[in-house]
Parts: sequence; C-alpha cells; structure tokens
Amino acid sequence: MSIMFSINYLIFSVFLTLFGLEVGIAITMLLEYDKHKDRMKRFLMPLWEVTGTFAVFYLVNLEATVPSLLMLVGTVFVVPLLVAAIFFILRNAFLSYSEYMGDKRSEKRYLHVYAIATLVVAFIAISVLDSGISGIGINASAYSINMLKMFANSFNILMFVGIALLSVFVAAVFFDVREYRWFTGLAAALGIIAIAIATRSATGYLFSAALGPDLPYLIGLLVLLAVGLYLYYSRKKYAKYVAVLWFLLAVNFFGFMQSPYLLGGAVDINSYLASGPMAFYVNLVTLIGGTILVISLVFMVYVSYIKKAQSTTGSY
Amino acid sequence: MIPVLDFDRFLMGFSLGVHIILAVIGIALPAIIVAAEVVGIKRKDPYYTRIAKRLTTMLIVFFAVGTASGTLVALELLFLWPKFMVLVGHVAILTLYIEVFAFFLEAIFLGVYVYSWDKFKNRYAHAFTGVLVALGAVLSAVFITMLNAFMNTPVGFNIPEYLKSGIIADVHPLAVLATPSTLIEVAHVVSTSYFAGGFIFILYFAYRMLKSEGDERLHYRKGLNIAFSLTLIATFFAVITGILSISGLYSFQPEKYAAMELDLYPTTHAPELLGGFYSNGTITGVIASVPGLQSFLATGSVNGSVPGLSSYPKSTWPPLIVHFMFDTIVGLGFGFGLFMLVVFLMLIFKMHPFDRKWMLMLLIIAAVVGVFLLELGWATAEIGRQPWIVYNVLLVSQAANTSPSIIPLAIFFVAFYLIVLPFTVLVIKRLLRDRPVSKEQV
Repeated sequence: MSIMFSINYLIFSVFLTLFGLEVGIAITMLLEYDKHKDRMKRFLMPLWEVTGTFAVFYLVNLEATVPSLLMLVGTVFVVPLLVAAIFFILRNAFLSYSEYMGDKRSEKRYLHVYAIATLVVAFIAISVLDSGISGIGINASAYSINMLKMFANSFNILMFVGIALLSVFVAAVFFDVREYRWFTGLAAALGIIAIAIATRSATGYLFSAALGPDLPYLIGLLVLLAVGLYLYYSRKKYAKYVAVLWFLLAVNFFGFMQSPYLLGGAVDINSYLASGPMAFYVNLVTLIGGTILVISLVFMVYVSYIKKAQSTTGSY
Repeated sequence: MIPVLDFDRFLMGFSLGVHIILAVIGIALPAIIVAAEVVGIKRKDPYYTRIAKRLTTMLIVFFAVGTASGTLVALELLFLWPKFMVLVGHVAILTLYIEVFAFFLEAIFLGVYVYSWDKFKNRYAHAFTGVLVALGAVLSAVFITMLNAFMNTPVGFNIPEYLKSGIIADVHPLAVLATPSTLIEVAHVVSTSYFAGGFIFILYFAYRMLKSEGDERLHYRKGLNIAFSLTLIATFFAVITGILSISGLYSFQPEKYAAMELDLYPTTHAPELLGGFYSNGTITGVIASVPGLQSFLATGSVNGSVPGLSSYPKSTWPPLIVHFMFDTIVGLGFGFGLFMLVVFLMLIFKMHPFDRKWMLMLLIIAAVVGVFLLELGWATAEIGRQPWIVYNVLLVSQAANTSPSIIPLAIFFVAFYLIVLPFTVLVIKRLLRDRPVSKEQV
C-alpha cells in the first residue's frame, strides 16, 4: 500500500475510532441516559469538535490523495453525503445546545436528538463506505447510484449492525459501564461475527487477504480483543486504552484488506494516486501538521482530562 | 424550467451566504473574548471576565453550527463542482489541506479554552489558549481565501496545455500560496471579517444596553467598548485594503475591473461613474461623472489608461449589475469609515457616545448595514468573476454537476438552514436568559 493511501486510511481510522466511540455513547444515552450521561458528556464536550474536524481532515486528504477520483466520488455520492451533512449539523447543534442548558428536561431532549442524529450520520457514512468498497448500488461507468440497493443490502445492514455492536462494546469498556456487563463481551463477539458474515457473503474475494497474508494481523487483533475483555472483566483501568487501540487497529486492518481496490474491484486506487511534487508537499504538510496536531491533542487531553483545577494568580 | 446549473449556483451561493455570517462571527468572537479576558486580568475588572465567559457560551454554539456548515460547504464544492475540485486536487489542494490544520488548532484549543478556566495558575496562560483559538480561526480564513485567490488569478500549472488538452501538467504546488492577488485578497477578507463580525457584537451589546439598566447596563457597556475598538481598527484596514483590491483587479482581472467600473471601451483620462446602466450598447442613467478620477485611482495618473469590455468577447462579460453593486459598496464603505471616525472622535473628546440612546440605535442600524455590506462585497467579487469559476481557465458551466438530483436537495437545504439558524439564535437567547449577568460566576 502506498504511503499516501496509508496516511489517508489512518486518518479515516482515527476519525472512525472517535466517531465509533460517539456511536457507542449515542446508543448508551438512548438506553441508559440517567446513569451515564454526566460521565459521557464530560468526555465528549472537549472532544466532539475534534472528531468533526477529523471528518474534514479525511475529506480534504482524500481530495489530495486521489484527485482524479473526485469526479466519480463527487457525482455518485452527492445525495447520501449531503443528507449525512445535514444530520451532522444537527449533531453539532444539539450537542452544543445541551451544554449550557440548565433545564434538565430540555437537556435530555437535546441529547436524544444528538444521539439519533449521530446514529443516522453513522448509518449513512457506513453505507457510503460499504458501497465504496463493494460497489453495490454503484454504476461506475455511468456515474450513477441506486440508493435503495446501496442502503438495503445484506452486506451493508450486517456491517452497520456489526460496527454498532462493536461501538457499544468499546463505549462500555471505555466508560466502564457495568450494567448488562455480560452483554459487553457478547456485543464484541456478535459484532465480529456480523462483519465476518458480511464480508464473506457479499464481497468475500476483496477480503481474502484476511485469511491469507494478513492472517497474523487478524490473529493479533483477536488476541488484543481478548486482552481488552479480560482487563474489563477484571476491572483493570487499562481496559479502556486497550479497547480503543483495538478499535483503531481493527478499522485500519479493514482498510488494508481491501487495498488497493474500491467499488468491488472496479477501481484500482494506485492508478488514481497523486504523484510528483504535489505528493511530496502533501506528505510534508501531513508530517509537519500531523506533529503539531499530535502535540496539541496531547496538551488537550492533559488539560481537559488529567490536570486538576488550580487556584489562580493574576486574578482581580 | 430552471437549468440544474442555476440550482447549483443558487445552492452554493445560499450556503456560502449563510456560512459567511457564521464564519465572521467565528473569526471576530474569539478576538473579542480574549481581549475581554486580558483586559479583565490587567485591570482586575470582573465585568470584563464576565463578558469573556458569557461570550464563550455563544462561541461554542456558533462554532458548532459554523463548522458544520463549513463542512457542508466543503462537501458542496466537491459535489456541485466536481471538475473544479479535480483541478484543485491536482494544483491548489495545499490551501485546503493546510487550512485543515488551522481548523484543528481552533477546534482543539476551543475545547481547552472553554473547559479549563480553573486549570491554570496563571490566568494569562488560559487567555493564551484563547489566542490560539483566534489564530486558528483567522488562519482558516487566510488559507480559504488563498483558494479564492487561485480562482481569480490561477497559477501553478501549465494553463495553455490545460486549455488545449485538459491535461494538468507542470504543477508547482507552492505557487498557489502566493498568486498575484493573494496578499491583497487575504488582507481584505481578514479585515472585513473583523469589521462585520465586530459589528454583529456591537449590535448585540448596543441592543442589550438599550434593554438593561444599572449594573447589567455597565456590563454591556464594557462589552461595547471591546467590540467597538476591534471594529474601528478593522474598518480602517477594510477601507485601505478595499481600495488596493480595485488596483489589484485593474492589474490582474481587467475584464472584471471594466465591468465593475462600467468601462465599455479602453480609454485614458477615464471618469469615475456614479450610477449608470448598460443598455443596448450604451450607458444610461449616470448620476455623476468625475473626469480622470478612475484613471487616477487605478494608475496614479489622471491620464492613465483603463481597460474596456469591448476588448473581450461578450460571452465572457460578467453580469453588469456588478457596477451598481460596486458603487453601493464604495458608497457604504466610505460612509462607514466616516461614521466610525465620528464615533471615535466623540470618544476622544469624552462626549460619551455610548451613553446616548440615539447613538446606540444608530450603531444597531449600522451593524445591520455592515453585515449587508459584507454579503454584497462577497457577491460582487463572485458575480464579477462570472462566467468563470477559475478565471480564464474553467467555466462554471464546465465544472458543474448537472445531475437533476441536486434540485430537491437545494430546496431541502434552504428550508433546513431557514429553520436551524433562527433556532440557534433562540437557543442562545434562552441560554443567556437562564444565566443572568448578575449570577455569572467569575
């Protein structure tokens, strides 16, 4: 896999990991609002904009990585992605509305709208990803899309269910949700099974590397998952880091497996990749900007989640 | 039946028109907040700290809606103008790509700023995180404007080859960061963003002053001081850069310049026309004409030569309504310069303008006109480039996605914005109402 596409997929993996956590939060908030709202919101509030920014980062990096593919992407996915963008605005708006809402009923109502909007965005985004991988519902030569086929096919539905279950698992471990804890492990297992069935049934040939050259990576992921679950059930505090790391690696693995093909093999990404001086400068900006980004994120995590409140100087 | 191309134009125009308001709020507001916090620390004045805290509530909500609307605009660029984005992807993507990191700076430090008021021993350290938010916001505007400068004065690839064969060759990725029009466009966009964004908060504080009394009125009075100071500086730079922008057009986009000045033929000793419409090959309805002034402003000499539309095929002329729009901008721009100067002098001579009800009402009216001026300026710049999306390289009609699926989306989007924006303002109003100024923790 080329460096540019690897970077592109890594950005996507970070976005999907952060957004996957949000999907887990959204589902938990809809089911068990009162018990977990405060903790989840405390985590979410400094971070939700960063998650959104990663979506933009991915989009612009995609434009830089495969500019010649933009004609196809821009024409085919116009309707689903613009509808997703509408729900993305709702997600942002209602989460921010809820932040300073003194009235608890309104806050709950707003957070429920946020949760539903997040799930809708997730469903559309996963559907676009699925049809991008499998080509289901897409006629690449005619630049057209059959949206009914794209959304309502077993591959897509099983993938969405699988990812939603894995999100619930990751959120449960991350926030140490203890109600229905038997379900946490089950959610992880069912999620993996759903994704496995989806990939084998509809577009198995694209993922053949999972049982071939990439098998050690797959086994490593399963071991890491088992470690995460063990730590969770033994109430070890490192469980949440392992779960998030597992999710990130799992998403990235998914990208490795299908590379370098899109649309069910109709498109070979390598033939669309940017090259020459533009590729060099894009990689350079990624390196410099990425370093600043990582430092800023570490600072944010330290100040927002670790640093304790201080008495101030220079005050009036 | 309206062609799909016009729906594309309408949707993009509408979305940008809305986004621009949110964007200028996002640029001006962090600057006002940081200024208030720093003044609060320096003077040990709790009023200013309270202003910073309350405005932070607004910033969160506006940022949430603004960034989402920005994402929507980014998607629309890709979906409505795919061929344009292919060109950008090959030649000018560094502008958007670097902008993402500026956006990250803004988003990350916004989270830090908002949720860490009590986490720094030195309060200036907290204010500094706000400076990074403000810096991220303004850098985002800078890099986005660089893309717009590329659209006006394209560089960085072999244009004759592209026009001949459609092949993008000899790409120089860094050239796009410094096109001939970049510097002046960036300076004008940044200054007008602070100008219009500042006026939105002048409106807020002036309105609240009219509605409040006692301690609360003093709170808003101090907020008005901050917003006015920022806007005063911005107005000065907006007027200067506005004048320089016209010289830039003269040099780099002569056809657009000729349309805005309504010059039908290249000429010397060109007059500056006030008013006037083009009809059947002639200009009618001119209100006033100052001989030689246009030549002087464009070239520094009253006998300097200026371009004319007759040098270009009629099919590439922009809609000549831009002349009327341009006249309005110039008139309002100088009007604003004068108005701000008068208020400034009143402040210097201790005439307490903000304690006068008529002045507060005048400021509110000025703010509404100021936002109109911002929109008009942007619309004039964009309409003036028509029919090109990339000047003299790519036509809007060549770049457009003409799939009919755009039409219902366009209608839906407009309806959506018309619901979300008023709702956002209502929510902010409610949030601030539920937290009276007197009970704000400082």
